[in-house]
Amino acid sequence: MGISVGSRILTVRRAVFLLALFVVLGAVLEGHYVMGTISKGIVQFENENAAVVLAENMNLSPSVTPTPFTIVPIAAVAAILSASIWILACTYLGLPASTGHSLVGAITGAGLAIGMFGSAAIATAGVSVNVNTFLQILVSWVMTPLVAIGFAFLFYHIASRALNRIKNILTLNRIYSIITIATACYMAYTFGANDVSHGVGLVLAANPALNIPLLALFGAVAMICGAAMYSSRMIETIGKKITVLAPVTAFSAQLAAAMTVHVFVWLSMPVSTSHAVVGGVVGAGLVKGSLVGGKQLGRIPLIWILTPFVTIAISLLLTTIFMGF
Amino acid sequence: MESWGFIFIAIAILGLFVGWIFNNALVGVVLIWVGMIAVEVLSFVKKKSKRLDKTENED
Repeated sequence: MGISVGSRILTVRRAVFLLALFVVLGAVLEGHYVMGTISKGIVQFENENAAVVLAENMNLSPSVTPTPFTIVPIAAVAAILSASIWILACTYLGLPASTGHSLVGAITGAGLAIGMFGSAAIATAGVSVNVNTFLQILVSWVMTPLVAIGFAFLFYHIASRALNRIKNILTLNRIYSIITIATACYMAYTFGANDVSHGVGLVLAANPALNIPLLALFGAVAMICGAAMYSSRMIETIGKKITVLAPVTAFSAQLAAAMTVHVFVWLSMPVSTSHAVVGGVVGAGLVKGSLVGGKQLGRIPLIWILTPFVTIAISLLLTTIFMGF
Repeated sequence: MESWGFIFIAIAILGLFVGWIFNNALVGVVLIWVGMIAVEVLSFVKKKSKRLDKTENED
């Protein structure tokens, strides 16, 4: 939506309105893919039978397989809190930090804390970080902006050739507006399917018996509240400070970002929507050869690299403190 | 936060609450869609009638 506002096709209010409509759909219909990875893919028990015995001893529901966060729910609270602290700090500074990266980092940190400092009973079940899944997620993080750059490059060429044939300026402007708004809606849909699942995935890990679509709706509503309260700063950074956006660039960047996120959602990978958007903007900007705002762009990868490390550290610390009480 | 922000948040929370009562997320989604679109339509109608009043007064 930042791109649409940056290119003056939508107002902030209209952008939040469309976000609200499509984010709930994406979360409820396709949120379960990423939610599965977040809730039980990253941190797991080495000995599941011992984990089930542990859950039975704690009188937890026998119908679901417990995750480490089911046994130590305070660790899920610590992980969510750690990711939230980092995201709020970055949002306040107007930097697009990724919820996906923050949360995966926070979950890893919490998992490490449970493994290292958990009780003797938890140690018998053995809690560890699933290295395979973690590596897959890391690869998908690196791939996200690159795939978005590729898609945006391709879409820009196709769109600019097709639209160059239209000579009437008014018709052209109307087409630009329609396709940019349509792709913004698609973007919001994939945002719901991907980003909403990040936050509520941990809630599902703490209580695997919950109704998944309803949980996704809860996350989507929280997203709408956040967008209505804090979105203006982020919209300005993405839409105005990275590169000057023409309508065809906005359309290509947005469609590329949405498609990239959607592909990774189908692969159940918790990627960053903001990375895909920045990749899309850069990809479309490369075609034009008009990459501006380099200083701002230079600060963004720094936040990308810092985010998982900082959130692992905050979460490791918070989980250890919380488990001590 | 502007007034539309409060309205959007109220509709979203109401949708969640109704979805939770019916234990069906799609009911909540439908309510949020209907509520949000109704607010947009109402504000559009209000804006248009204000513009009409203004032009009538100028005439």
